[in-house]
Amino acid sequence: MKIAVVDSHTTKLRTETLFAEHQVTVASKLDRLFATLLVAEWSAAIAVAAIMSPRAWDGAIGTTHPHVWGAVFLGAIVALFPAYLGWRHPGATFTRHAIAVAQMLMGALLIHLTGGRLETHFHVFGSLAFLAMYRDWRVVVTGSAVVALDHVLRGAIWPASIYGTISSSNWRWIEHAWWVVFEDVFLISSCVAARREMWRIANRHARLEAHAETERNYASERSANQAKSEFLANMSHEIRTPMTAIQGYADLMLDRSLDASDRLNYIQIIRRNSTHLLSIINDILDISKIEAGKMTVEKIATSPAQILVEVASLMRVRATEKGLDFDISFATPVPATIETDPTRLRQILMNLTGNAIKFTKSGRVHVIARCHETDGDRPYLSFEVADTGIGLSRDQQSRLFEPFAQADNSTTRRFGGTGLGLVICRRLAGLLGGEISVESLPGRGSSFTLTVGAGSLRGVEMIADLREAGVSLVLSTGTADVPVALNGRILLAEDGLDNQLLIATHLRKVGLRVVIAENGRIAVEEALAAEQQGQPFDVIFMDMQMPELDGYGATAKLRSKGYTRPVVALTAHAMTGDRERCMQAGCDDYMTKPIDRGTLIHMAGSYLEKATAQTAHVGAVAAMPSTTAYSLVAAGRSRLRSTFEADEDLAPLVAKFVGSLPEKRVAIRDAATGADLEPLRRLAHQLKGAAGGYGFPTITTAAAAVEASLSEASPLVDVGSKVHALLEVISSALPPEDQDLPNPIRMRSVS
Amino acid sequence: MSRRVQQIALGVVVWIGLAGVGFAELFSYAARPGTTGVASPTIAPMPMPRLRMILHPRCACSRASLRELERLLAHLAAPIDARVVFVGPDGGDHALLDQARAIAGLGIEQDPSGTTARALGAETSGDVVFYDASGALRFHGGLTAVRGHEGPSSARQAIVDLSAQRAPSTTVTAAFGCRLGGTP
Repeated sequence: MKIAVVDSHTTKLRTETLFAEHQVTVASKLDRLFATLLVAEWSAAIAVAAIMSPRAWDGAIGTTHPHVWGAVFLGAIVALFPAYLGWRHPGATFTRHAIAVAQMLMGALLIHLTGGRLETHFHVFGSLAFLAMYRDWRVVVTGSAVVALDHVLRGAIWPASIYGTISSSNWRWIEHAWWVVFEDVFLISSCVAARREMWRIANRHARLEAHAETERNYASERSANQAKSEFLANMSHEIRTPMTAIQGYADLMLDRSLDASDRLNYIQIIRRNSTHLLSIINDILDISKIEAGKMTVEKIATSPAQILVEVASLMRVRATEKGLDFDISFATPVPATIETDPTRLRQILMNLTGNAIKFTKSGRVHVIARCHETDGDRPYLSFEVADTGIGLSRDQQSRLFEPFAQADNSTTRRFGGTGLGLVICRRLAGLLGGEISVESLPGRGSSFTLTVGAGSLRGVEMIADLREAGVSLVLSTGTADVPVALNGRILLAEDGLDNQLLIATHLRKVGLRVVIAENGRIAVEEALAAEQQGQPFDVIFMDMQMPELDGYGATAKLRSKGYTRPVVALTAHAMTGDRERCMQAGCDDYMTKPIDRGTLIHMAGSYLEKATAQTAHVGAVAAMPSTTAYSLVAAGRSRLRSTFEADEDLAPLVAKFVGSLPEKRVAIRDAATGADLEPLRRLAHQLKGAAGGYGFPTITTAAAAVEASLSEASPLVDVGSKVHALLEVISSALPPEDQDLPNPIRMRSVS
Repeated sequence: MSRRVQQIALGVVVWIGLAGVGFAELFSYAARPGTTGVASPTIAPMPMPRLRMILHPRCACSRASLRELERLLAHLAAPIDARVVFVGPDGGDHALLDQARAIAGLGIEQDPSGTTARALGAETSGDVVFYDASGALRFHGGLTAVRGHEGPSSARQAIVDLSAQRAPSTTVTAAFGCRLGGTP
């Protein structure tokens, strides 16, 4: 039984490629062979002429016979051009056709030089047979066409030279043509058969290759699956470890007999582990984005010195804890600003220095900045992170930047980590116009060098060291230095009552005078009026999403009216591009909700003259984690409590916020069952921005989920379940008597 | 059309053009006839017709002329007095002499001073004169159609007709060969 084998499209394409390659190989060899043959035939023509008719005579005077000159010059013309093509363009189609023409012309020349000897005519038939070795019937046709044309032209003009008689007749033409056609039939048949055979060989080869490729892919897939399995196992371990701590300590906190000290301790443990968990999740999201080609970077004026100080402020603590020296220095003057993405540059440097500290037992970690090709077209900065740690073997270095691979599995067990950090860093470095390289000696230490493109440095000041940079050199031990007293006037443009209250309270507590505007239009009016009255606001905190006139429009309007004082955007969106959009609208800076008190005060302080030079570590702030920790205590049903519950200053605000929650719950419920979902989206957005600021990040998360589901036009049943979840979370924050569980939400279908 | 293809196409055109000019020049030379003198219209009567072929002893075209003469003699209907006259003092190319000697019924005559040639009005190697038995000149010209090329020609057919007492289609043809002049 004959089994038909159907080739895939890929196999067909590969067959065509192999066939073409084989054909070119055969043709190339033959081209060179014919090139040599033509030169040999040229020499033979000269020899024939020199032997048969060396001299022409005029009586007793002999001169070189014109046949000799003809052999020399005409032979050169006929032979050298195709010989050149054969050597310079072997395998090209036009080369073999030119060779076919040349062979036939050389035949005509030889026949003429031998006085039309019959034996010389065999050159024509021999040449056609040789040309058939190309296995290209078109070449045989070209050769035959030249013979035919030669016969037709010479037969018409000078028949004796081709037929040996002055008066030719049709039958002579037919006889001559017949012999050529006779030979061509066999030659062309053999060419076609040879091509079929070549095609079969190419097809067989293509199938073997496809089979081998399938085998390789299978092996590669197995290897990739194995790497992914190892990665998932590693991830599972990495995620479960902090998760176990979070769950375990959360369980412990359910014990109502815990004293405040233990509870605080547990909260700090939970916070630390959740931060670690978040960094792992961020790594996974980053690598996913990078792998999907969705990662984008900004290019804004960035102070490398400021970035280094920020990195140092966080890393020096860890280094000090391990007894390591930690230094930052400039090896060359460094530009005051470069065009890059500060977030990603900071992320890479944090990762490299973090690794250096992690893998160094004793000695030092040294970060050295350099600027290269300052006057060139493409200046760049390098940051060398050198340590005296365990170092890496060459094999380990070669696998260091492969996804899902650390130096070895034991490294993961000993030091933790996902093995994604350096992969992400290298990809990010590429996006920043640079790269990461490593030099290391096992047991001696490692040196990772990050390079990033600097953009144009024309007119940019070069600074020799960090002190000259004028950046804060307070390399803190972990708590933020927040001014405790500020003097100035602030305009807060915010439509949400809860955020109005919270932000205004934070600002007023440090001595600032706050005026509240409920929307963008009022904010513009207030700002311009204050300016005219000679009592301008020092800073405007502008919520970007407000009714009537939003923050983007309000800021743009202010700028169009010549308002030059600082405007800081407040937005609940933390997506890439939001910052840029705010800056384009005319804002000077950007903060994301929920508002962190320390960041808010820092931001205000950076735009204000401080009332006193006094700054202090706000230990009290650190006493209770700012936004991320919360507690659930057993009270019949679990009750959600604010993380600021123990803060004497904020407790009244929190109580007021909690008091407003039943009203919000009703409003959300009503909005969810209404025909127009816009009020629901607005309520969710306001709650998302405010709840976190009052120490209820869970409510922020639930509200964000509702807003997202509305923005993504999710099915109504999904929106309903998210609204239900939000109402549940709100209820859990209320006293037990108010915690009546809402009925499932039935969304009205909206067409 | 890419620049490379244009260059190749131009190269091919120039190549074919040059080759064409070369072949045309070569063929033009081959078809260029020599000069023909005036042969004596009558000579003394003989028992049989007389044919004389005057050859330059070193001319490359002489081989083709001798072969054509050999073919002609083989086709004649009646015997004739046929001779080849080598003009020049050194007797000529040995190979040419051997070729002439091998032709049956062909006499060889040396003409060191060129007297015979001049008498027969021959100025180009390969020139043939044919006198009938009465001594009248019946044909004067070359046997080959071009320089050095064998093959049937009107000259061969004319002499065959004359020997058979038929009217020839032509009595004069051009001779293709080296100029005799003061041959060596």
